[in-house]
Amino acid sequence: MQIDISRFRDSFFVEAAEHLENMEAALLQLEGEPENTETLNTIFRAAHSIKGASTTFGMDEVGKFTHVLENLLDQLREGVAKASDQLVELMLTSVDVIEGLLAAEKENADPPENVDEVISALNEAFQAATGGQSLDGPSGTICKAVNDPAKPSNVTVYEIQLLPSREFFCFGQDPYLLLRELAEMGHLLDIQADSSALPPLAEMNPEHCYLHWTIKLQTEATEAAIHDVFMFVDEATQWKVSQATASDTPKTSEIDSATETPADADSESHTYQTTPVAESTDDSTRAKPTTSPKSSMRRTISAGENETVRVDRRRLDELINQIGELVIGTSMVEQDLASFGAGRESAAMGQLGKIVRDLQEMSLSLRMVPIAATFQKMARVVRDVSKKLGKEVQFITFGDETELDKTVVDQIGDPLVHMVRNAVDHGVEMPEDRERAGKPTAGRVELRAFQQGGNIYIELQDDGKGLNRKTLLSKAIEKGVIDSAENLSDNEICNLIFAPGFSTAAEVTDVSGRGVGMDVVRRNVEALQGSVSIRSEEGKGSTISVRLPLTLAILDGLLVRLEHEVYIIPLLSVVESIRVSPDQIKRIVGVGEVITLRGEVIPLLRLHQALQRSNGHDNEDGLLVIVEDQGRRMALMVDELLGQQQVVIKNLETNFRKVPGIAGATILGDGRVALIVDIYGVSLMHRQPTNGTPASRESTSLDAINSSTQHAVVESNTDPNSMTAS
Amino acid sequence: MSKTALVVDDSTSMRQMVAFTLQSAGFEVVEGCDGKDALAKSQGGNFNLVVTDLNMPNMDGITLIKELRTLPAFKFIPILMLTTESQDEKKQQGRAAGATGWMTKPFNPEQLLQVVAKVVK
Repeated sequence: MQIDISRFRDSFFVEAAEHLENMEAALLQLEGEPENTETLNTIFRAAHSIKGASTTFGMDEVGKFTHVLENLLDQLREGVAKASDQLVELMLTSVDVIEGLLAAEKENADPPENVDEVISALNEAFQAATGGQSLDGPSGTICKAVNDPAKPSNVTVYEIQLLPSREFFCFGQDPYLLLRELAEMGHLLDIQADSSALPPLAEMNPEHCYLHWTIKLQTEATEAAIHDVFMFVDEATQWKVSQATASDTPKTSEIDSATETPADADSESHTYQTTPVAESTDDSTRAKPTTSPKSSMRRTISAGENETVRVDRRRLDELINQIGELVIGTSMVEQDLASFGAGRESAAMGQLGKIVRDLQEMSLSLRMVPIAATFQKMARVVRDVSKKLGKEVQFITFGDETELDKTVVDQIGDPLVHMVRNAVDHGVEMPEDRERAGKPTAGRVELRAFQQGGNIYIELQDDGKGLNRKTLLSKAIEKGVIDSAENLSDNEICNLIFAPGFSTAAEVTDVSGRGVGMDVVRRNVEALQGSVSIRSEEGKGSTISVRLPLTLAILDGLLVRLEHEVYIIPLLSVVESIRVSPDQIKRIVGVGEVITLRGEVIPLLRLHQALQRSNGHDNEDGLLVIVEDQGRRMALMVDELLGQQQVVIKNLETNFRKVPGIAGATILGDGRVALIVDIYGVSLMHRQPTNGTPASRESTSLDAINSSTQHAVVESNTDPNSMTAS
Repeated sequence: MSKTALVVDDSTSMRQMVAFTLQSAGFEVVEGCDGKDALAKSQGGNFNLVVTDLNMPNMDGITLIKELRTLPAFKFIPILMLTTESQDEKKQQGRAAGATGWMTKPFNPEQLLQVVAKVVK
C-alpha cells in the first residue's frame, strides 16, 4: 500500500514556523539565564520536533541541519557546555537557516547560502563542547539502519526457542503474534508448547505467561531477520535461535522432532520477506511529495490549552465573506417584509436578525489572533540591532495577548520592524552618552498593545534622546518637505518624520536603511485604515502610537444622505452633529470655510463638493457632522442624517478603483451601494483646493490662521504629511 | 468491530500522518496532543493500540506509558513509541515503562503498518 503523506506538508510548515518562533523566544530568554534547563528543554524539543517531522516528510536538508543543531543542544541540556553569548548567537542564526531551508522546500527555491558555514560552526561548537569528540557527520545518525537488509540466502532450518517473561503480557506483547510472524517467514515445520512451568491452578496468576515454545522453521531469511522478530520483546524474555540441519534432532529433550524435515531448498517459503523495521527509508517506498504548496502561511488560531483545529486561511476568509453577504441578505429580507407592513414587528425576523448578527460576530472572532507572535519577533530585532550598534537595550512588551484581525497582524509586522529598528538606532543613545545624560546605561524600549473602543493601539516607547526639533526642521526644509519653519507647532514638527523621503539619521546606517522607514510605516498603517503619530520630548524619548481597526471586515457607520445618495461616515470618527446658520460659516481666503464651535475654529467641508458630486446643489441648512481624527476636528456638511448601522466593508479598489476620499463601499439593506467616507482622505481635500496648490503650503497657511486664532486648533492641526487616515 | 488507536504527538503533522495511516488500515483514531491530553482521552475508552511520541510538553511519552499501564484497560494493550533517538537509552526507558515496541523516525506509512501488524492481532 502506498500512502501519500504529502498532504501533511502544509501542516508541517505551519507547525515548524511555530516551533521556530518558540525557539527564537526561548533563545532570547536563554541569553539572560544561560543555565535555565526548562528553556533549554523547550529549545531542544522544538529542534527535535522539526527534525523528526522534516525527515519523515522527506525534507532531508532540514533534517540534516536540525540534527546538527540538536547535537549541540543536547550537550547544552546535559550541562556539558554552557550557552555562551556566541552559542546563542549561532543558534539564532541557525533558526534563520532553518527558516530559509523550510522556505526553500516550500517554494522550491534555493536554500540559504550560509547553510554549510553554519553547519561547520555548529560542529565546531559541538566538538569544543565535547572536547574534540567528532560528530558522526551531518547525516550520521538520523537514518540509522537497525539491521543489514535481509540478503537472500539459502534455505535453512532454524530451531527457535522462546521463553517469555512472566510479565510478557504486561508489555502489550502476545506470543501468538510472534509465532505468527515467524510462521510467515517461511515454512513452519514444528511447534511445541512447553507447559511444564505452569503452576497449580490455585497459584496461577492469569496475567502471567508460563508457557515456553520451541519452533522449527524452514526459511530463506537470515538469522538476523529472525532475531528481528523479537526486537520488541522485554528484557526478561529469552529466545534462542540456532541452526538445525534437516536431520538434526533437537537437543532440547521436550521437543520431539519426529517430523522429517524436507531438505529440498525450493519450498514455497520465499513468498515473504521481512523488511527490517525502522530502517532508513529507501527511495522506492518513500512517498515523494510532489506538490509545492504556495499557499500563504497559515497560523494557528490560538495555541492555548484548548484544543484547536487548523483551518485553511482562504476557507476562513470565504466563510467570513459569506456571512457578510448573509448579513446583507437578511437586511434585504427585512426591508422587503417592511414594505409588506410586517418588518420590525415580525418576531421571526427579529430572531433571525439576532442569530445572523451573533454569527457574524463569531465569524469575525475566528480570525482574531493575539499579537504576541509579532511582538516576539521584535525582541529579536531589538537584540540584533542593539548588538550590532553596541547599545544596551532592555525590551519590554505589554499586552501580548491583545487580539486583532489576522489580516492586520500579518501586515503590521514590517512597519513595526521599521519602528523598532528606528527606536534602537536613532532613539536610544550609546551607553556612554546615556551615562553622561544621567540615564541608566541600558536603554528601555517598550512595546505595548491595548484595545480602546473599536481600535487597537500599539505604542512603541523609548527613553532615548527624543527628536531634535532643530535638526528636524532644517532637514525638512532642505528636503523640501516644508517651505519654512514658521508657525509649525511642536507636535507638527515631530510628525514631520513621517513625511516621504525624510531621514533624521546623520548618515545612512545599515540598520535603519535610507530613512524611507517612517514614511513606509505611515503608508502601511494607513493601508490598514489605521493612523500613526509620534510624541517626543527631547532628551527623554519618543512614543510612536499606531492606531489600528479591530477588524477590516465590518464598520459601525453613520448613514448620511447627500442629495439622493447615501454615504457612510465611520461612527468612530463622529464626535457630534450640529446645525449652524449660514452666517456662522466663515470663509478664509486661500484656505476655505471654517466654523467656530464653542470657541474652537473648525475647518468646514461641503461633502458633496469635496466628492465632486454636484456643484449646483448647495445646502445652506447647515447640517454638520463633526468628525475627529487623532484630536483633529473637521465639520462635514451633509443633507440628512439617516441613522446608524453596522456595515460590511467591501473593498472598492479591488472591485472598481481607488477613489479619493472614499475608503470602501457597502451594500445596504435595500440593495443599494453606499460609499464609506475616508475621513483622512477627505481632510486632505480641504487643504487641496482644485487649483492644485501644494498641500504643504495650504496647510501651513491654514495653520498660520489657526495658530493666530485659537491655540487649541494649533494642537489639533498638523502638517498633512503627518496627518493620519481614519 | 473496528479497532481504535490512541495517537499521541505534539507535532500536528506527525500526528495527522500517523492517524491517517492507521485510519487507512481500518483503525478508528483518537488523537492526543501531549501525554496529559492523551491520558485524559484514554479514560473510559476502549483502545486496541497506542502510538505515542516521547518528547512532548506537559507530559512526556515515557510518563504517559507508565500511567497508561496502571489502567486496567491498557494493561495488555500494545503501546508503540515514536522516537528519533536511536540511542538505546530512550528505548530502555520506554520499555521499562511498559512500551511494546518503537518506531524510529523517519518512517513511512508502510513501515508503520508493518510494525503495527507485529503487535496488533
